[in-house]
Amino acid sequence: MNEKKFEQLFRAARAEPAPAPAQDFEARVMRTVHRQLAGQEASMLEQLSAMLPRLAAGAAVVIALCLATDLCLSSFVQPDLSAGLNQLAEQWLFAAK
Amino acid sequence: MSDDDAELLARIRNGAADDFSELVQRHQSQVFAILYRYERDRGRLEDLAQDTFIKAWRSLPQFDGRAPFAHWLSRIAVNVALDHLRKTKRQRNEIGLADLGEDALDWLRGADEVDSRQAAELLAVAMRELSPAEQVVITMQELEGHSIKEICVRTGSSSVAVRVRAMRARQKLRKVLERMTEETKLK
Repeated sequence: MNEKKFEQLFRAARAEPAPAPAQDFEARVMRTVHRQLAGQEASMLEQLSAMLPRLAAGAAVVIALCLATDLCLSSFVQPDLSAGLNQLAEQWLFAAK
Repeated sequence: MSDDDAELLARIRNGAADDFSELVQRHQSQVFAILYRYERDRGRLEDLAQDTFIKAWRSLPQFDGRAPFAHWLSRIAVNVALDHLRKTKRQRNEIGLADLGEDALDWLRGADEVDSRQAAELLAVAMRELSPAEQVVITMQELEGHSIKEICVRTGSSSVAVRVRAMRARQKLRKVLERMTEETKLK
């Protein structure tokens, strides 16, 4: 095949127009975009809900540690545990009374 | 980047996702024109165009605005086309003279004229024997009229790689077309 014929083929093919997009093409793209956005929101919720048991366990450990520390400290200051607890109750729990 | 595109992109980044539809409307013809060089089936063409816009949507945070949005989008379209060619390469690397119209066959037999549609179909069939990377380079150079430099930018390949691919692609295409001519004359 000579160069002239080869070039003629390219020249002719170059002139072919591409088909126009369908009327609803843009709507189709936007439907997929919205689906992806909804998917992202759902996955954020899923991540949060997956973290909740760990958060709850962590909070329980912190509360237990606080209670233990408080009890230990008060037992150093007050050898009598019940007196210490009474004082604690008076000071903190029923302070408003 | 045109000011209109910049303004629109800023709105989309600030959460106005629906404004992306305007961006699609503005650039859909350009995307179809690029992809039609690689996929002539209407349904698959629309799927590829949709893939291009969805990839652009997902990658918007990475778009830095240094190049025009249209260039950035065309690079995504070329990558989508390249992936598509790689996926379909195994299924269609045989020459299909049966796929061609009578005008294209006449032109191969020696007729002077060939219309644009027949020429594009003939090239599409002949290009099946090229590697996907060669198809992209020869299409961008010969059908879209891009310079070597532009092809480098849009494909992310080096200048040497693009030149070598373009040269190989031309040689292979010429051989394929010569073979097709021989086969057509024998019929």
